[in-house]
Amino acid sequence: MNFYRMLNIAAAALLFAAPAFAEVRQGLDFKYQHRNQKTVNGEPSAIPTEYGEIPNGLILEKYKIDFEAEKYFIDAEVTNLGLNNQNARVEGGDPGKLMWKAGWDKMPHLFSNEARTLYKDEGNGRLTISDTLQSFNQPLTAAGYNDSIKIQLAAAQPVPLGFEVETSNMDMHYRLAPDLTLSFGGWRQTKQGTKPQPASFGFSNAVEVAAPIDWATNEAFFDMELAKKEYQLAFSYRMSDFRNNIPSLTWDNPRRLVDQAASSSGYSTGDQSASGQLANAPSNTAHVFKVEGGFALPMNSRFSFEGGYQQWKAFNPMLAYTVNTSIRPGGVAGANNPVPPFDASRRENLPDPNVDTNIESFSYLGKLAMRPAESIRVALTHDFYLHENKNKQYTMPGWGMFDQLWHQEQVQTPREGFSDAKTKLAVDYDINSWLSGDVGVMRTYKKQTREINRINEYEGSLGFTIRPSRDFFVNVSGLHQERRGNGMDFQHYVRTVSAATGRSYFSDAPGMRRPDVADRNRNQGRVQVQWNHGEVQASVSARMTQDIYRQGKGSTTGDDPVVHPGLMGLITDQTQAYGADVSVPLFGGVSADLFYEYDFSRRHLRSSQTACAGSTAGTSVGLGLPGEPACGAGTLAPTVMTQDPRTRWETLMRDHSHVAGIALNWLPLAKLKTLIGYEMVSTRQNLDPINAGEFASTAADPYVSFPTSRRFQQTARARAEYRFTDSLAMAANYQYDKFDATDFAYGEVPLRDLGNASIFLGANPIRNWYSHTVSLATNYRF
Amino acid sequence: MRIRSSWAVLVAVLAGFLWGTGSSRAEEVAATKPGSGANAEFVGASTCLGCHADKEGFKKNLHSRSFLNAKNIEFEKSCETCHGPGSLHAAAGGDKSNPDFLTIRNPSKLKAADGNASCMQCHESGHRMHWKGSTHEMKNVSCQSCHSMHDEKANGGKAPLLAKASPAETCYQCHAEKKAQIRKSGHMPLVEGKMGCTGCHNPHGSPAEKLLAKNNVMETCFQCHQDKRGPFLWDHAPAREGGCAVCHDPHGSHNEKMLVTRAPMLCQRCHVGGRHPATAYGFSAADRVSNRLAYKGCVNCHFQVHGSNHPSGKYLNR
Repeated sequence: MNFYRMLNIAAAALLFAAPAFAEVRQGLDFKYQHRNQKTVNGEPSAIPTEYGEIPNGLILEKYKIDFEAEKYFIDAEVTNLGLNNQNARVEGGDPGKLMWKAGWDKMPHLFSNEARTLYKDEGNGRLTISDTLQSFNQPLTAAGYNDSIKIQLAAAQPVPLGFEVETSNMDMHYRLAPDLTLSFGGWRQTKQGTKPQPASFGFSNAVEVAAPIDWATNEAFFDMELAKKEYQLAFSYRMSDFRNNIPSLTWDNPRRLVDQAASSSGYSTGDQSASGQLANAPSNTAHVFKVEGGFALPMNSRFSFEGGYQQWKAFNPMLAYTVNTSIRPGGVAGANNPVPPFDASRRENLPDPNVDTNIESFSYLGKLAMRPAESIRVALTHDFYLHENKNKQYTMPGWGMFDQLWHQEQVQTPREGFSDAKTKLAVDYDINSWLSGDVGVMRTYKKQTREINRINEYEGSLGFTIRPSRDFFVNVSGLHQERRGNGMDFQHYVRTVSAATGRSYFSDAPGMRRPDVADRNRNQGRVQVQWNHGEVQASVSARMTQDIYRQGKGSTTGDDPVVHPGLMGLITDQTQAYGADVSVPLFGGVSADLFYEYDFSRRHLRSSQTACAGSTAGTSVGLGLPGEPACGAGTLAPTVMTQDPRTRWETLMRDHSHVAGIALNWLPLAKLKTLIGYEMVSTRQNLDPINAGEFASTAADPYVSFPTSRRFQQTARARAEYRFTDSLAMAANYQYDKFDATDFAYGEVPLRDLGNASIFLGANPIRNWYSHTVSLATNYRF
Repeated sequence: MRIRSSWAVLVAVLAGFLWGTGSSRAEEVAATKPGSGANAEFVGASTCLGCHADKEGFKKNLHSRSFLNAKNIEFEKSCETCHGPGSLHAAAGGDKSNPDFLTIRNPSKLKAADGNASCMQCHESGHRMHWKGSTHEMKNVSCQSCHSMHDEKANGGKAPLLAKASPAETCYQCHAEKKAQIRKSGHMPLVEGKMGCTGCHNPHGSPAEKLLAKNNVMETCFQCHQDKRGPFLWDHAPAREGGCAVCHDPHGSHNEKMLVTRAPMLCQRCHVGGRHPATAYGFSAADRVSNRLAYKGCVNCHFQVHGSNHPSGKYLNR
């Protein structure tokens, strides 16, 4: 409402001021639209667009008014007035002296219009389920609960799932003196609504809630720049303040009304606490200072530099370890359920009443760019970035697991940080008038707080630019990169030492191929071709990347020859993308626009190994080593902790995508433009086992490939536009959209029964749908 | 050893370039630069518009209007500021066979480096501070590839004088594969016009890789996703150290949330051992019936994947 009042005032002010301007131009685009959308396969409903609505009725697509005077101008524009993706902006000034602009934008982020939930939002991040329902479910057996929850979910209330993003901005650019400019402004963004939030109580009870969102970010900036022909110097400061008005989320457990501490067997079923609690994204503030500049040097050379400092801080009340009031001394103890020496649900037992976190970053860049001769360009760059974690560090005596039980293990909060130092030399040489070549070498040195904590990366690149005429351009380049770490820093991995064997069992397996740190060889190639000749425009681009991960230095086993002996994780990763974009005149006033892309990725993934358990679930009895019971013999079965090579599996994940579009434009008359077009986006994902291990795959139940996951979106459109006068044009539009998808994660996987019911919101993002949309549009300029 | 070999190859290639056929470059420059126009004089914009009436709109565009305020250049002198003195060219009267006709300097017909030098007389500041030595500059991309100084297509003649209808269309000229990728089911609102490539990239050169507008991927994403900034009590190491692109493909993906692949395989790229069975979830009928496979996979429980500020958030599930 405030926005519309402001808009009216601004519009009135502009119209009042209109006579002062030499020229006023206006443009109006509006249309009457009707859309008929249906779902297929009996799906209840669907959302056709994630970021905006496609409504029926009269729509004001755009109104634009420009005021021009000899020195000043003001342009204002409103789009999609009254819709949930509307936008307004105004800008103006005296170019070169003072420029200003302001804007307001609204954008939805829709997840689903068919979600249903058992929960009621009581405000301030509290989601409740009726006591009646909880008390009804509490005494039920696992099977009884499973049946009950299906009935309850069918009768659950619809809940809107999505949030609105509103962004306002204003900034100004003022030239104080011919070489000195000031810029300053502000930006405010709010996000309000709901988002689908997993909120589980245990391994097998996936619960999803419509979590309320109420975020606001305010930012301000100030820049000052001195720009002489020979040198430039700029200073900038930016402040960003993010406020989360719902700092925590607390939600009821549909299985229980009264808190109870878990027994050992209750660990995975998640039916002990009456509610759960999580910490939402923390409110935080960032300050960024930057100085940059450059100056000319002899021999057509230039040195540019940048230095920056940032601080990110969060300061929030720390939540209690758990909201389960039964997790206290005297609670139920079990093998997996040590009793804490204090009441874990009370905040006074925390190490600190607040979470005090702080990250500081320092960066600098120095770049020497030279053109010592007409035909050669050289750039030598060194930059450094330090991301230093200065969080207050706490030693925790343990933690509440899913609000079900206490896990007693002294642990220190981490301080993840890193630094990058890059040095790069690039040389470009014009071999002759139409051919240039470039070579580059780069070394990056990274330090990190854990995993592989020192990394060297070497890169060499070679490329050619072919430009035989100003209409034709080919760029071919390739690079080879080798990344080498200082080895596995396994002592930093979380581990449990087996009382039976004395061996270490790691939570995150040493030796894993973490894509961003593991030793890797990368090969990459790139081709870009562009041809513009008259009305013909064509471009082709292709990019191919192959990553091969390697074992690396150091022990991956913690010096235990039987622990994690092999490579695991991501072994290779290949991606290819090919794109083409062509505009070409055909015949008789017909022209065509086409684009096409194919991309492909192939990832080879290998597991570590699985240890064996006895007939009693969860009882680890051995590794199948000499002197120990053989894994797979008798009642022994593979289970947690991954040691036996015979249970290792490998798989290939493949993604194929085709995106294509064609539009034919026909101008049968000077005033008549017609268009027919078709676009499609087809993506497909396959997961195929290579080696499934010899235990889990049996003749009766062999490993098979996953069902293929697909998305297929098609759009066909037709348009005819007739320009009656220079000021008035009208157009008739028709559009057909169709979306088809299959995905095992959403439809084809039956969830585990017997007390492991999952409560999802029913917010399936891949419902199949189709729609017909017709509209009559008018464009009027005056 | 292999690294040493690679360096040797690179040095050899570099030496080959330096030794190459550079002499023909001088002839090229002589042919394209208005060297023979040394005796030309300034004639003023009125004379230019006498023939180039199609450039009349230049009077009103941002470029022309800024000349006086920013550089104290009257409109009458604006054409020849970039094109050089035009008396000989004007005197040729449109006769392309007359050598004087070619004495005018046309940046769009020069080699990219020479043409760009004209623009950089005034524009070596602001976002272009690091243009020299940047990826695009070194690859011979000219200012005219993206900008139209006279007949802008975008934003009614106001900044940034683009040659195409939008910043994204401008970038798609060379990055054709991105035009299609951004249309995949998991995408940012580029197609809807709510953001553009320059929201994340600075095509004029930046200190960061991939011409990012900020120092790295993480800082670029935090421009809009401040809720992920933390700092957190419990970080997810790759989210902090490796950056968002370890798991997300910001240019579009088949998967929800623009993930590079789906969970649980996304997570199993690293977490293949650990306290959960190292199962190839879903490859047998028995284990396909698993919450670990459905919907968000591992994230059904470990939902604070970007970090947690809960004292019990060690495994990112609170």
